[in-house]
Amino acid sequence: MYVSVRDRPAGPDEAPGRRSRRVATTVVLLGVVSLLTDVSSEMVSAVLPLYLTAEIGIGLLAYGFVDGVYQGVSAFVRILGGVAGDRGRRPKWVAALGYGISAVSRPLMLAANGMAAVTAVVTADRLGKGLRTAPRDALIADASPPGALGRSFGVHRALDTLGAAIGPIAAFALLAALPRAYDAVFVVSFAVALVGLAVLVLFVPDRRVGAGTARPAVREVLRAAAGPRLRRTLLAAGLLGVLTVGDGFLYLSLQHRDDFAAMLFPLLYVGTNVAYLALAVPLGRLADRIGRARMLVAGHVALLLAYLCAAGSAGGPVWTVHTLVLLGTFYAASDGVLAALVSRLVPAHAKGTGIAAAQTVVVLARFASSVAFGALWVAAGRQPALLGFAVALALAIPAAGWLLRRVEEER
Amino acid sequence: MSGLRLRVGVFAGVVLLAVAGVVVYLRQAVTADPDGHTPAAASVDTGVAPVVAGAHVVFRSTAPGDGYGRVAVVPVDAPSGPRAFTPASCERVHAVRGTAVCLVALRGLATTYRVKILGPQWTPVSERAVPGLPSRARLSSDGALTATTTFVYGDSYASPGQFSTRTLIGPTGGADPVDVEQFTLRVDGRPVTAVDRNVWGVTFADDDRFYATAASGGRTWLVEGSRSGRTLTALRRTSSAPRCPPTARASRSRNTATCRPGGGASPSSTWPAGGRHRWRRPAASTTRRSGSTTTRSCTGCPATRTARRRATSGPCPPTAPAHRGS
Repeated sequence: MYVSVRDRPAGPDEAPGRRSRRVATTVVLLGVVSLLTDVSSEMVSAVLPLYLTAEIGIGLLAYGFVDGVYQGVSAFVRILGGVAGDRGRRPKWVAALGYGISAVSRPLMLAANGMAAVTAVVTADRLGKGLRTAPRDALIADASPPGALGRSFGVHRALDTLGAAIGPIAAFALLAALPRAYDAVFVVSFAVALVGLAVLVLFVPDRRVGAGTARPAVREVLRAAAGPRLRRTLLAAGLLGVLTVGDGFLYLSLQHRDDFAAMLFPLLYVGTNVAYLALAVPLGRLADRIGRARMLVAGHVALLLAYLCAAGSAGGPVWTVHTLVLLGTFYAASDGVLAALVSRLVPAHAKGTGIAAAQTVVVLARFASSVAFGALWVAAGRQPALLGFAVALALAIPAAGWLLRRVEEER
Repeated sequence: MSGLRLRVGVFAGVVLLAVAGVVVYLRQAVTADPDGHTPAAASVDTGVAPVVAGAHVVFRSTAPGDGYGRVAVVPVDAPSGPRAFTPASCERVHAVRGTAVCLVALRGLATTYRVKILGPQWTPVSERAVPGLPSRARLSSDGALTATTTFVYGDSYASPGQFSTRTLIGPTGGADPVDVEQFTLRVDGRPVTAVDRNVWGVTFADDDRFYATAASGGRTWLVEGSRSGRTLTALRRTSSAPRCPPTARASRSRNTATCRPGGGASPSSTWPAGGRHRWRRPAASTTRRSGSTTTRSCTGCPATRTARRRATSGPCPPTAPAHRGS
């Protein structure tokens, strides 16, 4: 890895704005927590379709329903987590609660035997995820010097993605050694999640965020998070999000085009993650230098190119790989970068809420986009739908750039 | 950082506890399941041969224990009696005398799926890759043709009510099966070109004709297909997608009648109109049980619910974007 705990912490004491080659210990620790938690959750989600359909006997259709449920839950709880972290001014404990709920859901998976039970357990996991994301990002922002926010989020997302890559490998290695030992997967997953939770609880500093001693009122937090600069950013993020086709659709499109992608369908996620992992830190650093808003906009240019690669009628490995790399670039230039951008636009006591608001806007916008894209695909076909979205995105990118102009300078 | 040492100690304790817990659990799991792996290509269980000599049922055993996922047989007149286990393990299986088609999952970094053709000794005589999660396997009554149905985008990004199937048909053991969804689908004489077409539930009638269910835009039809003409012709619309294609039916030995629409054993007359009824055995059955084999009833049939979700129904499962970060 590019960072290690051996680096002396830049930490909270470092003068803001100073360029440093080090990343705050808190950020690395939170990255390790995310890594372990992602190993844990990806272990489960990698085997879940097989487990449900092959072992429990739930149809795949019903599984789709399960998945739909937890995406929805996650988006809703996110805001809650952000506000709770800001209001209590102890984001660490809100995050710990979120990680804890997810960890506890693992052993419950062993006992879950019917559709309702599985849905409940999976929902609990997603609830935990929704709850912890914003307060954790607020902690990262709080522990990083303002000039290195992009890099800090890049380091965190890289560790997180690494965990997501290790998870399925671990799960299938386990299943290869012990066929049908789905219970063993859940047990190991639980153990890994517990260790992650322990890192968070024991080592991540319990920092009070914001100034003053009084607890900010909910209304005050919300008002602070709804300032004009954040509003423009949310608008831009929403505009771009509405034109962001979920990566699942792009994989689908690749799969329709050629059998290469069809056979390797599960590997497409891995390909994107590898690109994301490799680029998260460099692009985060670049964002610190050229401006996070600019990087966010540039990331969507990569997305636009990915649409074009996926839309072309020529198939084959080359185009597939190009699409995946561009998609990974897009994630590396948008996910952590957006959190870094937003955390500078809101007052310290409303960071969690601001980040949560931006993430929720993106999630909801992408959901709308997916529904629209699905409808367009059915009505017009795969290629016209992709090209239509590409054209719309080509128009939206300059508009978003205009909305985000000087948004970072006004501080 | 006065408490650092304490915290490191606690952390070491947590890690130790987690590792110990896993080790204990895994040891117990290993001893509880001493022979987790099916002995690959082991000789046929002595119990199988006498059973398959008579009328019998072939199925995939889902009883917990060593036999889980194994293909097993029972005499047709003692279906709840002791099972004889074959060496084959399949996710989906369909057998006629002397031949079986078996869909298997190879778990790995990326789980892949293969279709195996099993010979009389239940050992693979040929195999190739198939895309997607196994849903259904079928042979023609003489075993010369094979149909497989898989869920292609059935993955974690699937959304409610959306699925897509890929149904491949071709000579048994042949290298290049054709995708039935590429056939021209005609309803009332007009071609249906919508991209959300799905075809499943193939039942072979003869070397060229077969019956299947086709779906598009939330509607489903019983279709008659022609391999040579690469066409699917809608025979009648089904008011809602059947809960299951008629898999429980004995598909039959060499000399019996073929399926005929309206003639009893065809999918059309045996599929219930409402989704919940069970398949009814036709009064004048064209199938006899003499030397026949049956399959397990299917699970994971595609799509009863698509019909109710027109708004978002597409060929495409993922309406929810992938989430990044945790």
